[in-house]
Amino acid sequence: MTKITKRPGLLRKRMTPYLYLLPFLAFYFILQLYPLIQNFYVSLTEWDMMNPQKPFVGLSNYKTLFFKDYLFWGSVGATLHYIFLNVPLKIIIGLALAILLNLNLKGKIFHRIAIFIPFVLNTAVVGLLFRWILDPQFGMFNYYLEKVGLAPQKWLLEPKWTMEIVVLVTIWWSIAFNTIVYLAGLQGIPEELYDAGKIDGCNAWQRFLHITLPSLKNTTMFVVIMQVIGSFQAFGNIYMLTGGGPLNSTRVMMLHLYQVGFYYFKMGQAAAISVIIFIIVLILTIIMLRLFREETA
Amino acid sequence: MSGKIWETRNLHRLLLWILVTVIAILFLLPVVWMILSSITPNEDVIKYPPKWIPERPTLMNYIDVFTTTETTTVGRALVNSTIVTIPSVILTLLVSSFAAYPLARMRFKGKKFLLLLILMGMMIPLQVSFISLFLIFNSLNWLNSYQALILPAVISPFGVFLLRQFFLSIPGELEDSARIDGCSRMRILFSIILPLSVPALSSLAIFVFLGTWNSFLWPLIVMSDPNMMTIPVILSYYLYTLSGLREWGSIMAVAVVASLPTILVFISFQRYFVQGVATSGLKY
Repeated sequence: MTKITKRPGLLRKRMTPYLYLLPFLAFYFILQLYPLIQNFYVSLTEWDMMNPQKPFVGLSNYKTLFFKDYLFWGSVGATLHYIFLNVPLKIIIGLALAILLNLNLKGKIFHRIAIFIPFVLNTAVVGLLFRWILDPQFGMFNYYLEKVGLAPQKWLLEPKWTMEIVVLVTIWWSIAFNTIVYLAGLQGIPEELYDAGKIDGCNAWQRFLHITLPSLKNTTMFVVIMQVIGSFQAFGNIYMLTGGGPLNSTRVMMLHLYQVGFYYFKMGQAAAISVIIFIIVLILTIIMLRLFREETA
Repeated sequence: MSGKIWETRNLHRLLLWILVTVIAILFLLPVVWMILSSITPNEDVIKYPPKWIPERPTLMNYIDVFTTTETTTVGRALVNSTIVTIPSVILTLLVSSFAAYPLARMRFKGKKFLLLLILMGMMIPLQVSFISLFLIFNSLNWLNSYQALILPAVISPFGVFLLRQFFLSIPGELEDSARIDGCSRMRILFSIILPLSVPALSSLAIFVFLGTWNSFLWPLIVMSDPNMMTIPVILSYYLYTLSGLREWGSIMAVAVVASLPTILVFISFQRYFVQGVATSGLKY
């Protein structure tokens, strides 16, 4: 008798954790995992919005991208250009700012707020604001260049320096992330290590090289991978500042995807581009998890 | 001797203080320039040489933003952004708390696998499935609808992870005694765990708020009807007017209006914001 009455209760108890997880998992499967898989399928079809038939075309979308679409390779080049400028600069500047903010100088709340505020602005605001500052005719930037005796430039209108400008604006806008992560990393380093270093007669630079940097190894690895993954997804900042121009010099992969998909409505080809981005990001993620496991093992 | 060391130390700190302060001011200058431009009349703002302090400061740009027929969409966009952001924040907090609770507090089959799945979700950007997500919402006839922006915002593997880490740090004894008293799991979650987790919940709320309010690419894709656009999408439409009109005063006023909510939230909850970012980076 007791057994029979116990069972439904036991079943309910067993189901409890899954019931709590259900809403999240439902969203996660329907809106993240399923679209991810469907995306693969779409990339193998000719999914034209006008055509009700979606014929299966195998790898033809990929072939078109690799062999016929010079803009695709241009976008790969632009993405790499963006990454090679963006990632190292953001690591170095992020760490430098974190060290400065960690010194507990007077007015540190003001320093922090000032340096972190750009991070909460949206990309559209950042893009418009810097288009205004860099305006070739009326912009503040050219005015000050002239004042210090340099020639004003047609910023963002000539391919030269445009990617550099985009990256500098991006650093201003998003450096807070790296700085905060590094700040947390710095605060995790035990004070005794520095005391021991001082007793051994290490100067500040030696302490930085032999204590700070090695202690931040994990943090740095995390930041590097996050930055690389993030850079493959760069869209809003570039869309707003240059729209991919001039002469496609800043047309990164996400911009190419957006135009192929939502200007020309070639969904199959756009899906193929996102599959390529996904595979690159996946490989980078696996490498990171491996490195991390070795690090902690 | 020791006095001299002390002096050089102080000099170092003074020099560093000057350096940080100059950097902080440089970071702030574009924001200050945005605000000052927004209170300068459109005719004055493009006078050369540019002036920081407007000669005839005005709030006209702000009034224009909400009254001109061409820009009534800005007011509408603010309403849209609010309608999308508030449910996104509430739903994400609820869904993530429910998911984080068993992952922190219960034993069950497949827990390790689910944790791995959630970690994976933190790495896979939603952006790579935007094409098929767009096709799904299109086939449901949900383009230009609020749910098209709210539903994807609710998936927050980061949120589940953040809350789980926090729940783990709450001592189990409190819960044990409540269970002995016969409290249900649901009551324990709502009357013990969540009230103790206010810092983590605040961090997550700020994250979702900033993420949804500032979200750009997805709203740009799904909202083509001007009446449904959120504030960043409306801002992107000013790009098309740049070659002709140069109404930088008005444009900067819209930019200020778009940024004000996020700046206010950031300044009032600075600590939680910093903690949230720090957790995202530390716990891997």
